[in-house]
Amino acid sequence: MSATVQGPSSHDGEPSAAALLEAGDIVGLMRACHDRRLEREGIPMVLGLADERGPIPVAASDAQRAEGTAFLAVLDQYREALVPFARVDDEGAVITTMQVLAYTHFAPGAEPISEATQPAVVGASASDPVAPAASDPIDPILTGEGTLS
Amino acid sequence: MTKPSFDVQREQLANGHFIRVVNYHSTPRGARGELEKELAGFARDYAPVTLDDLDRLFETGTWHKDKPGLIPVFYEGYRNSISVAAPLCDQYGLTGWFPIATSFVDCDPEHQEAFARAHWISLVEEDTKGGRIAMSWDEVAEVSQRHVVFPHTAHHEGFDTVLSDDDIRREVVESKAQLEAVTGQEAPAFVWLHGSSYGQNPRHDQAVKDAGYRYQFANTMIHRVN
Repeated sequence: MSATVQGPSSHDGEPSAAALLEAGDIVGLMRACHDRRLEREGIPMVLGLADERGPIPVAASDAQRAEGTAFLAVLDQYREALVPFARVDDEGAVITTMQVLAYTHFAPGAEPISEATQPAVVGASASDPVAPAASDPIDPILTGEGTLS
Repeated sequence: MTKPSFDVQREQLANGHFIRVVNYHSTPRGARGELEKELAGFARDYAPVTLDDLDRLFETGTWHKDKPGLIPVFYEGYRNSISVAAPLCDQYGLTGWFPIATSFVDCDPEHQEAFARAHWISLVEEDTKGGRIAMSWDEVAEVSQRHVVFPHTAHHEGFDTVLSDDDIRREVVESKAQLEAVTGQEAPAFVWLHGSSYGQNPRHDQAVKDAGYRYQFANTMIHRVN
């Protein structure tokens, strides 16, 4: 029921998430994030918060809501690109789309969402910035007309 | 019950109700350098999330630290979670969250490889050289002093294979009690194999709630249950 993973492998020579994004290769982003080596690499996720006891107050932080809105725009774009066939409650499709979102915009070597209009950093490494500080501006392009279509 | 859907996810994002999580499994010694590089990058750009921080986020809806929060999660209860992952979290000031398949820890080390192979726990090559693969209970207690430890069922099971009352008691209730007896503190969260969400089955949801868990982690969201 479980496999032994043999020896190390590497992503050397593979395009970074930022490079794939710049090329508009959303399917490539999906392949790359699903090819993460589970035995040694983290799987970035953006998880929603649900309180089964009652509503959570809307975030008071403008930056937090703006970032969520930017993520939402990206989610819609990736959903359209990857799983247009999916029902709204297709959990697997939701997970896959959110995984691509997280892999693309906050994994090591990713394209931070606030810098999405800047030139992509091809070959970015794990030591590269992986996310904006909370005070960083949210790219208006990702909150409105997307760059990925 | 909040079932996963694109509409739910969109609403959560629009309201700012989300958090970054990075899921790890085995963290072998042979890849320590890679993990360190990854965690160092995360630690530079994100803030740790303690249980109190998560509680506060659910209560207020607002993240209260300068940097966005990030939860590194190390699944299963591997021995290398405490020999590799936890020390790196300590070094870089991250709070690790450790879901543990309690029966994996309980299993005689002689049989842990077979346990892993029988219960969807992936192994790396260095796990097959003999010796203990899972944490010891003393190590579980130790890691709980600085990080968050909670059950990932007893036998690494999904809700769809936990069918009888005995099954539910063993996987949901007794795993919590066993962990709490060892750590001397609340096991605040629960996660099924495959990260199935709350809301999939009323009987299983009720069991998680009745067991007293505060949170259920899933692949699309974190549910506050109690």
